[in-house]
Amino acid sequence: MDESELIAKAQAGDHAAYGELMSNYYRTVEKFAYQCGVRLDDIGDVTQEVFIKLYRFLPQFNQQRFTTWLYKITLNATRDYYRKEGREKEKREKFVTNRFDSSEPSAEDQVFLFEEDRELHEAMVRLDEKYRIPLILFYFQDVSYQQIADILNMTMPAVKTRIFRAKELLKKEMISQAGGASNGQ
Amino acid sequence: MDNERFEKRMELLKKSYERVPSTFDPSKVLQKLEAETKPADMPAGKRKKINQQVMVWVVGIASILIISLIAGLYVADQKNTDEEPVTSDEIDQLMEKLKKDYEVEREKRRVLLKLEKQDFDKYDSYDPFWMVTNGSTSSLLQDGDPKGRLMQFYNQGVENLKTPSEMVADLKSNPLTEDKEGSLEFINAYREKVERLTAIYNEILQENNDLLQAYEVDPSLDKAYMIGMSKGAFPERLQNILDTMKEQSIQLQSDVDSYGEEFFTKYYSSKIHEQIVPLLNPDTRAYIDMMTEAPYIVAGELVYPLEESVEMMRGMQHSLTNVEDNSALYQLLETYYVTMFNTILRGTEKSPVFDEQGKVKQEYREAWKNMASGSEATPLRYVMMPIVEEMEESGWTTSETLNRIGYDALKDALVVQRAGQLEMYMYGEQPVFPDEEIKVPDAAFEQKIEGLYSSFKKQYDLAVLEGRSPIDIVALYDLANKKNDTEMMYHLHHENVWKYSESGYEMSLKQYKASWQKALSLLSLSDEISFSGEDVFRNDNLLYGTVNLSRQGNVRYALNVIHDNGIWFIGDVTLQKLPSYEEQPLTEITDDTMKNIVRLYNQVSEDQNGEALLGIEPMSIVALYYYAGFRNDLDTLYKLYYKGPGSDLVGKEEFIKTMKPSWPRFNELFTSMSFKGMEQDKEGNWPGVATLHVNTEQFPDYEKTVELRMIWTEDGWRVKYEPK
Repeated sequence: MDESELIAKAQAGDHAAYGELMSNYYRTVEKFAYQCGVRLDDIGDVTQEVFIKLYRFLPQFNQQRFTTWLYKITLNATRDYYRKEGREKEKREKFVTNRFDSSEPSAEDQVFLFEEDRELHEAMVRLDEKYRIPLILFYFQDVSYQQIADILNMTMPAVKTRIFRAKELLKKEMISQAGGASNGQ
Repeated sequence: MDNERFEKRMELLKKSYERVPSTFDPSKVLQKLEAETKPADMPAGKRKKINQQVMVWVVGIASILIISLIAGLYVADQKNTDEEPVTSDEIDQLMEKLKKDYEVEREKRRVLLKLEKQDFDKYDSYDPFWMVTNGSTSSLLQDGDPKGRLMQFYNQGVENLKTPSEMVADLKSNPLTEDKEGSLEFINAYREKVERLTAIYNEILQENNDLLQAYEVDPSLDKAYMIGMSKGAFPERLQNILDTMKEQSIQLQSDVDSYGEEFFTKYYSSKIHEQIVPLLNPDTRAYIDMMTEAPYIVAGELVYPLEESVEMMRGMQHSLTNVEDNSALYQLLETYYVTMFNTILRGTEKSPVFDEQGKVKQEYREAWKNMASGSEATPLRYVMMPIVEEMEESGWTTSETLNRIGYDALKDALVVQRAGQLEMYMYGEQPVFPDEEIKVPDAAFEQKIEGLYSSFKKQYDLAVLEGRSPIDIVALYDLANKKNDTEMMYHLHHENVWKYSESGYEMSLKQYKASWQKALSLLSLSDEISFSGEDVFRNDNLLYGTVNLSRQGNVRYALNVIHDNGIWFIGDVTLQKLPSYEEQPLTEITDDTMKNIVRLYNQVSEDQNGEALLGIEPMSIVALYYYAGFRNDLDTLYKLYYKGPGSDLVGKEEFIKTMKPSWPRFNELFTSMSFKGMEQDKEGNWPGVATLHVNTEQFPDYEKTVELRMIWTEDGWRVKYEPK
C-alpha cells in the first residue's frame, strides 16, 4: 500500500494503516528528536507524543508532503520537551539516583563511538534553534532547501543563509573545543 | 576548519545517529489513542505557589472589544437584497427570528459549560441586537443592507458566545500559521474568554469555599487535583464546573498561605492548548505561551529556573520585535519581559547575584552571557554586552554600565529596535552595497583585475583592496588560482578563516601552501558573476554576503565574502579542485552504503531537473549506476551517462530499446571500490576510473575487478558510455 493510501485509511480511522505509517517513520522521528537535543531516555516518550499528535492532526492533512507535517510536529514536540525538561530537571536531580556504575558504558556510548562525534553533536545542540534546525534537516535528514523552508515557514534564501551561518558557528565552536591557540608562526 | 573536513565530520556524525537506540512500540500509541478520554496525569510533588494575580478584564467592555476584533473575520452574508426597499415589518420579523436563534445558541453554550443561568449571563452579558433594541430600527432601514447588517450582528453575537474549546475547533479548520495579525486577534479573543470563565468559576469556588476546605484528601496528594477529579462530591453548581472546566483548558489549583488554602482556577497547558500552538503564527508564540507560563515572578522571585527564564525572555523578545501590535496584550508581554530582565540583572532576595567574595555567581554569569550571546542586534545583546565585557575584565566583580543602568534600559532598546535603529546603535551605519552584475568573459574587466593583481602583489597592502567590490575580489582570487599564486589567495581570505582552522592553530601561509590544491577556474565555467547588496547580513561586527557565479541563468557557485572595515575578503570557500585530484580510497560496501544509495536513488529518480545529482561524489554515482541497473531503471541509468563532447552515447529511445541491465544487487556483486581522477586528456576532458572489487565467492565467473570509466562534468561525474 503506498503512502497516500495509508494516510487516507488512517484518516478514515483505520488503526492498522496508522500503525504501518508509524512503522515507516518512527526511526525518522527518533533520530530527528535526538538530533534536536532530546535525551536518549526521553526519545521513546517524545516519539510517542509525536505520533499521538500526528493522529489528531490527520483530519487536517491535505496535499502537503507527509514528511513536512511529520517534521513540524516533531519540532513542536521537542520544543515542548525543552520547556518541561527545564522545570522537571530540579525534581529529577532530587529523586533520580545514579543508576550507572562508572565502569558500565552509558547509552550514549553506543551512539558515539568516537569522542569527537559526541563533541560535535553537543556543539550542535548548543546552537541557537534557528540555526540548529535547518542544519539538522539539511545534513542529517537529507531534506531539500525548499522542504526546509516549508517546514520552518521561511523563504528558501533564508534557509540557505541560516545553514551557512550555522556552519560558521559550528566550525568556530569545533575549533575552540580543539584548543584555538595561535601557534605563533 | 576547511569545508571538506567539516563535511566529513558531519558525515561521520550522521552515521552515528543510525545507532540511536529505539524503544518505540506503535501498539502503545494505538492504545493511548483508543483511551483518549483518559484523565490527565497527576502532577508529581508539591505544586508551586502561584499567586492569583490575573489581570481581569471588565467583561462588558471586553465583549465589545472582541466584537470589534472579530468583525473582520466573520462578515455577515451579504444577501443579494431586492431592488425594492426593505420594510420595517420585514426587519422586525427577521430580528425576532434571529433573537430566537440566538437564544438557542446561547442555551447550547450554557449546556456545554454546564453553567446555571445566572452564571452564564455573566459569560454572555452582551446583547448583539442592542443597537436595534434601543430604537435604532430607523437608522438600520437607512443602511444599504439592513438584513445583512442584522445578520452581521447575529454572527458577531454567536462568535462572542463560542467557548474557548469551540474557538480551538475553528482554528483547526482554519490555521493561522501564515497570519500574524489573525493569530494575535485569536489570542486576544481566546484569552479574554478564558478570563471570563475563570472569573465565573472563581466566584462559584468562593461561594463554596467551606465545602472545599472541608473536603478530605490524603495529605500526600494534591488536594486541588483530587477535588478536580471528584465525581458527585459537591453540590451541582460546583460539581458541574469541576466536571467541565478541563474541556476549556482550565483547572482547579490551590495556594497555601498563612490564612489557609485558597482555591482558584487557572488556564493550563492541556492537550487542547498544545493543539493551538502549531496552528498560530510562530512569531506570536510568546503571547500564547504567556497564558500558561505567567506569572513569571512571584513575590519578587523567579518562578522558573534562571536558564529557563532567559529562554522565555528570548521568546518574548522575538514576539515583541516581530509582531506589530499596540494592544494591551503587547503591553503585558513587554512588562513581563522588562520585569524578568531586571530581576535577572539585579538578583532576588533568595538568589542574590553576588557571592560572599563579591563575585557574580556562576549561574548568573551563564545567564548574562546567554543574554549577551548571538550575532544579531537585539535589545538584550545591546544592553548586556557591555556589562558582560566589563565584568569579564574585572574578574566578575564590577561593571560601570551595570551601576548606571536604569530600570527601563531594555524597554528603551526595544523601542529603538522597533524603529529599525538598533543595529546602527550597536555597529554604526551599515554601508549600502549596490547590486552588481558582469557578463563574462569581459576583456575590460579582465584587464582591470590584472591591474589589481599587480598592485596587490607588490606588498599585499590591504589598502589596495579598500573600496573594491566583492566581484573584483572574487575575480582576483580566481586569477590568483589560475596563476598558482597561493600567497595571494591566502591574503585574500579574511583572517577568521585562518584563526578558526581545523588544527586549532592559526593556519600559517606555509601550512596553506603545503595543503593547497589548484582549483578549476570559476570564471571560465561561468557566463555571469553577480552580487546582491540586499542579501548582505550582519554577523556580529562583520557583514556577510555572497557572490554568485552563474551559467545560463543557473547559479553554479556561490562564494561567501566577508566585509570588514571597508574591505571585502573571501570567506571560507571550497573551490572545485581539479578533477585529477579527486580520489576516494578503497571503501567497503556495506548495508549502510546500500541504505544511503537507496535514499539517493529515490531522490534522483523523482527529480526532474537533475538537481539531485549535483555535487554527488563519484563513488556514489557508481553505486547509483549499478543500483539503477539492478532496478532496471533505464531512465535513471541514462541520466548517469556522460553526454558531452566525444560521447558515444546513443539517443535515449535506442538506449531503452537495447539496454537490458538485469544486474545483481550492488552490494552483493561488489565488496569494495575506489576512485581516482586522472589528468586532463587531449580532448580537454577530465577522466577518472572507479575500480570495483567483485564478490568472487558469489560470482566466481566474473573478473576479480571491474573498472568503470568516468568523465567529470560541471554537474558532477558521469559514467562513460562504453557499449560492449
